[in-house]
Amino acid sequence: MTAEVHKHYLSGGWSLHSWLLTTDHKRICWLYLVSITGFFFLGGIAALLIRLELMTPPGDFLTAEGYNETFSLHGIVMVWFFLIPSIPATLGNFLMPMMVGARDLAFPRLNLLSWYIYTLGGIFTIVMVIGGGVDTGWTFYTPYSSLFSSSAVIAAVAGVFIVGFSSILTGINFIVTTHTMRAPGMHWLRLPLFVWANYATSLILVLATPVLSVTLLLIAAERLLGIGIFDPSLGGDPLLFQHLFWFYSHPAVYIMILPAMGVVSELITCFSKNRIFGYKGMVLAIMAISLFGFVVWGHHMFTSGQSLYAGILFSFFSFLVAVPSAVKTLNWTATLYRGRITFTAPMIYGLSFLGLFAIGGLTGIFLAALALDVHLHDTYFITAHFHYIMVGGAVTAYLGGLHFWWPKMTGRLYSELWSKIAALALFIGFNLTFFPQFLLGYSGMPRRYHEYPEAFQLLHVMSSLGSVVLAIGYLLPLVYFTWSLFRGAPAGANPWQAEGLEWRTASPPPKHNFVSIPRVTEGPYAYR
Amino acid sequence: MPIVKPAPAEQFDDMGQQRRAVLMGMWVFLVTELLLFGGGFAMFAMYRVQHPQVFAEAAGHLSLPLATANTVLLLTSGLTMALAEQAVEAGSRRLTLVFYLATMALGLGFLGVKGYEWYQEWQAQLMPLPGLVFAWPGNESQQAELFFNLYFILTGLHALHMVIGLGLLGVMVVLVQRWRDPHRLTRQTQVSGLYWAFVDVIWLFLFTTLYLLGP
Amino acid sequence: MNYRQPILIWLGLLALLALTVGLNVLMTGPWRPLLHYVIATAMAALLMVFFMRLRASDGLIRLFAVGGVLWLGLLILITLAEVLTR
Repeated sequence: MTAEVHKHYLSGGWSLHSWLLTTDHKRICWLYLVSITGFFFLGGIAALLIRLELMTPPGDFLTAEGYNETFSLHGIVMVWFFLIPSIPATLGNFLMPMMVGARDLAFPRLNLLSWYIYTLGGIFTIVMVIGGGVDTGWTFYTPYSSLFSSSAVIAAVAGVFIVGFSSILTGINFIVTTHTMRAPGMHWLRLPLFVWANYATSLILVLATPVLSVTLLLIAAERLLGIGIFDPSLGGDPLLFQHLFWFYSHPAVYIMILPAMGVVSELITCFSKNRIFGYKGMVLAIMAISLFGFVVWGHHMFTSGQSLYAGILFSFFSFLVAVPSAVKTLNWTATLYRGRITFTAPMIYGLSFLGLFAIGGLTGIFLAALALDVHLHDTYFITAHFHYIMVGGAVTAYLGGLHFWWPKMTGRLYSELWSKIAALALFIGFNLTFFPQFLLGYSGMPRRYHEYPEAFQLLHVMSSLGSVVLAIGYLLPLVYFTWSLFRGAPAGANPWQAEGLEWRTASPPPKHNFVSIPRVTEGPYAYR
Repeated sequence: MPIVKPAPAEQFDDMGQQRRAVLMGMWVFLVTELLLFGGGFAMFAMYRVQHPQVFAEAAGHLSLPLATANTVLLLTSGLTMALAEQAVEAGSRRLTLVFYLATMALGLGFLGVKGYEWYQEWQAQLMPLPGLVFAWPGNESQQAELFFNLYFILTGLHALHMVIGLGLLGVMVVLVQRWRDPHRLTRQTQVSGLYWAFVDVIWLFLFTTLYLLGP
Repeated sequence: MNYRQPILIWLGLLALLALTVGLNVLMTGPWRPLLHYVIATAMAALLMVFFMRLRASDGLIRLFAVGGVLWLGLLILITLAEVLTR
């Protein structure tokens, strides 16, 4: 029996076979971590090239075409292969079964298949994007992508289409696991908010991804067969593409941010040692965001020539989404009130998220206003806004979550000092990079140009310097995490004195997560 | 025939939990399939309201008799599939095989008729493919071409699902032939039955949307 | 084995098919498309409730089935609303 307890999921061996054919959700989490980190740094290199080009007003480092290809690579990799799978596929994969008190996900083999589809599809797409010089941006807007771009659009679109199946499989797996695999006593209002957030994300994945699939298929068909579904000269309508595309891609924003919100709920409660303020309100807000997220897509199309009445409706709904987001922000802040706050690295990431998400969210309200959007559309204001949500929100929370659960995943601790430095570098570097972009955009700098008037240079140089600090904030964890993997001090089962089922089992957990399935008797976040 | 004692997969507590999980997973998957076709339906709806007349006229060029015959074939295959589910639950290997094979034959019949229909449209020069002449005997040839584009995309996507379904049934025939684990076979038959019926449901709406909204 | 129920459902489906095709041949007017869709929905409901066993499934699965249809409705409705008010 004792020997059984000490055998954890990593002691099953390090052979290639034991990793590539594993069905253990914890090992699949590691597979995902490796692929995602690879994609993330590739996208990051593209970002640095962009910032390098923008150091000076003339286009002296990249050609116009080269610049288009670089930002397309950055967008395609970061959105499709990093942000969308990031938290669900890694932390979600590791934690969903443990948090509901199950031995594994409902369909372990599908889970592994989903990683293969994701990784192979991702590599294929990236090879095609780089080799074929895809220059459409991550949105593949028609008619440029279907008629004019002379690059490997078909292959890139096919790759993104394939990776969509991976999202769908993960979504199905999480939904079914949450519904059917909960431990005795774990009823819905005892689920940690991380589980709720991933559940809502899965609903979006399942409901939205197929619509993207059929749209991408049609771009490929249009290029291949010359049919005119989106081609105005053949009677088609390019706006139809935008409708179908944003029916997926706006909810996709919530695919990226909801899991991040779930992570932050865990961080804030643990490091203020407080119950979450307004648990039911948080649950409602999560579900409301995921549902409202489906009826706001038209705010990406305000200046596209869509109907004004539809624009007014979409604008109204976009304002509505701000309500549950504000409820969440308020509740996190209220959770801090009179808490015993400790500024560990995960907490610094969590607090960074609060600040950055607030700025990103509030600037989103500017953009939801019809009249203001005409001025700000396609400027750096938009770029700054969505980077505050995607990077300031999602990536910060991803790193925070990784720092929080690292001891659970590996059984080892990492350097406290260096992790705090990295968290601060991220916060400072991020603001230095993207805050100037709000100012740039507001004064009229359009996005996706490789040259600009000299008046904008100071802000652009600030932004480029910030991106270097940001890069340091990303590289540091890679170093000390690797170090911790081999030399880190043993963590023990619960280094943070955190609540939650995942902390009641050994670190690293045994193969089936728990020695015996736990019986749940109280709600989450039972601090004090 | 070795009969395996029923035991759930290791992540499940009992057979009931496993059965519920599998059925729920399949239903969620079908919802994704619905939305895949849904994108196509949305496109069709958008163009139908923009070009009502020429779309109605184009629908008149499709063969309603062949499509009706095809609907009968598909509905009948839905019946035999439902009977196969009953047969496997009753533990009759022979009957299960008979119903599975009948379902496959009806499905193949559907694809045959569909192929013949496409052939007819090709002969009538209504297939808008590069290298082929698209000869529309009326006004607004471009919009008519749009209709036929959507028609071939939607029926093609549906036919692809039929082919996948037939492949699935083919695997099931082999599994039923072996008859190893009746519990598992029942579960697998239910899942295949769900898929097959779903393809049926999609066809009903394709049939209505493409063929019945004529002049 | 209970052959009766599936066969009755099948006969019902065929009758509905005959009805909708008959309407197509005989009837004209603006209400016809609506009737076609009502009949198609009835046929789909028969298939789903009996052949796909929604009747015997738990409420959650029914909720998923209905939810999927509603979501599709949302997509079509909002897109159409935009096109028609353009």
